[in-house]
Amino acid sequence: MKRILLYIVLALSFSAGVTTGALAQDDEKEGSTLPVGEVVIKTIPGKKNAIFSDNGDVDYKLKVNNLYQIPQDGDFSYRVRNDLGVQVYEKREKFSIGKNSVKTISVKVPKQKAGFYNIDFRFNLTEYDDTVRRTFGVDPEKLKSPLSKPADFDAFWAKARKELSTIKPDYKVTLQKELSDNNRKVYLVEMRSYRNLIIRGWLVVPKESYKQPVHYRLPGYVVGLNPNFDTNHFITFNLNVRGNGNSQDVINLGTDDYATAGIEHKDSTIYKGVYLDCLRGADFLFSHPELGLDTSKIFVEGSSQGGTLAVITAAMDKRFKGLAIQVPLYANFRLDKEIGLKYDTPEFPIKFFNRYLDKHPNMTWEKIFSVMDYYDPQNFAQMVKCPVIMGIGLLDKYCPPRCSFSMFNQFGSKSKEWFTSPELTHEVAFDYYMLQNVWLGEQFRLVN
Amino acid sequence: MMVLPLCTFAGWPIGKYRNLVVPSFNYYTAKNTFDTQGKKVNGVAGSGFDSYGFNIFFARGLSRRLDLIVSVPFVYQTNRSGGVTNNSSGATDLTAGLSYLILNNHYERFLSAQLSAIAPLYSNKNTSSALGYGSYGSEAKISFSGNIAKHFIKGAYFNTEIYYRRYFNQDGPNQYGAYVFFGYLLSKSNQVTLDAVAIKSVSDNKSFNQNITSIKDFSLIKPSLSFGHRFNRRLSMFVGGYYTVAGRNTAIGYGTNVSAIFHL
Repeated sequence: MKRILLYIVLALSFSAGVTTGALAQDDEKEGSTLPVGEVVIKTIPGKKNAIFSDNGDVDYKLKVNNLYQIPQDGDFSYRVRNDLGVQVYEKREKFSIGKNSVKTISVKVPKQKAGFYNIDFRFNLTEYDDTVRRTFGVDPEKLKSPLSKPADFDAFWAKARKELSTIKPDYKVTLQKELSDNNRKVYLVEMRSYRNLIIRGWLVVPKESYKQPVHYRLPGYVVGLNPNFDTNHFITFNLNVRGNGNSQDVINLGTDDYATAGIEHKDSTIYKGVYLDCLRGADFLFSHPELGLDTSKIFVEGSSQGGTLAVITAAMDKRFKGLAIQVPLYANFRLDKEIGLKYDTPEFPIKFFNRYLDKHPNMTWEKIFSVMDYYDPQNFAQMVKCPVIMGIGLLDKYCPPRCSFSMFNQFGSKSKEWFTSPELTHEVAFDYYMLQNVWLGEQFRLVN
Repeated sequence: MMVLPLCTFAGWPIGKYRNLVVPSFNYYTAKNTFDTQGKKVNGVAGSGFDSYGFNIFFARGLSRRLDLIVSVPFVYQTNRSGGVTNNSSGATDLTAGLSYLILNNHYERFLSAQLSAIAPLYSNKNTSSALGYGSYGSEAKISFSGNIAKHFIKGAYFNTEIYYRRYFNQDGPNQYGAYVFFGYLLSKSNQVTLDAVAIKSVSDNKSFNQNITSIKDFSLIKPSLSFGHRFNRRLSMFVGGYYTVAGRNTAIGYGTNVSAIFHL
């Protein structure tokens, strides 16, 4: 494809030259002719998942493909920094490559201690300057991080759950005929949650004669969930917590303001209601076996903010038999902020808190932490006892890998595993979902 | 040598903690033969070989990569030659082994290695109607299986195997086998499968025996066609037929196979 584009560019350049040739002087034509091409760099970590041991070197292979019709000469260097930007290694060497050819470079970084590191591969060549940025990890399961659990954390949540229990759920399950077919029934589920707010979700029940395991999915950050028709082995329940999808009729905040809504106090933050919504959704599932749900086989899953919601749900409701999360937001929020503020430009979600602080001079990061400590999923992690699987993208700036592993290492589960996508940002590769399916098959003894 | 077409699941990891139980019934009959040059020879009147086999295959996923596999066949067979009929029956060669998933391709295609031991569950006192070679043996197998890419054929899957089997008798035999399998889903519940096995069995013992389970030096190619129906997530059944289309120093056998696959 790149080659085709190259030919198109060459052809256009040629035709442009012909068109303007009558007006241009020869010396001007020669002076304006720039070599057309590209250098394509592919990075291959020595470990497929880019997670190395602290006992050995970190190694990469770089496949450099010079598509220019002229040789490229210059410098190649690589620099390694930890996730707080502190440089730990750098090496520079001469590099040359013939025209239209491929060269492989072996890169070695001396062994590093447990953590995550950004490695910049920099090429400064005749016609080409570029930096390829990758992230690798070293023994992330050895990472330790202190919890920021307030002394009254458990009491706070016990009280919050008691408040929720005083609200009658008034479950309403309505068959959606237009969405149902011969293979499945789709229901709109409505219920009352914290502060009497009505929240909604979509229940999809495949027509089977036996009680089926349940996939409880929680939403990302201001992401509306629709019915989940990927129902190979599961009944699916997608809950839209307050302010998401079809639960936006009362609370409808934009993405910029959602994270900080009510952040002034631990009882006023939107996340108190959001977390309790998740527990209310769980109560719905466990109280409705008559819909075909096998309530002994329910797992909770989510991505990004949904990952966080899944963590706190599995932590506070021990009835879940599995927890599957991808790129969990807010994990080790204090570290998240520390890493996030090292970026050239703060990224989501830290940038929203920064903007909030700009507009609210009376608030400080410490005040925000004093609230978020009650909502940091890392502080819930030890309460999770069911099997866990987690997938992360190593280039993720929203949910830095070290934050995710800080939480992962705190999980109280006997069975937990992780998956990394070295070249992805705030997402995980398709292979993760295939692995998750294998994992679910094992947890629930599913048959194909 | 009969080869039961029971490989609709072979090569795929069973899955940790899960079990597969496959009882199958096999009817096989042969009258004509391929001679040592591979030419068809019509059987004389009153000669032939029939067998009714029952096999129990069991597999258990010990881990994500490791499966335990056990197969126990039973047979009742009749061997007719020169007006004399010999019957014999009993358990034949037990096969037990471990299959290890070497690598997967996006969890859709799997490369596995299997090592098995073969143990005869009989003694060949009735030499005119032996139930097998009466020898211990071992088998090494490599299999590659999985889904066929959707953009190529939708709803299709495959399995390929190559194996080497060695019986520990002085005259072996050594057997080299290849197996290809193709399955196509007609609907959510129905499928057709086509497979073929090729075996080359090598031994210093070149003799031909009307009791084909005793022949040690032979080769054959046997395709089979089956229809499968999934009754529910735990039970599927396959019915099929097979025929020996080519061979050397072996019987031209054909028959039918019925198997039930229980996912437990």
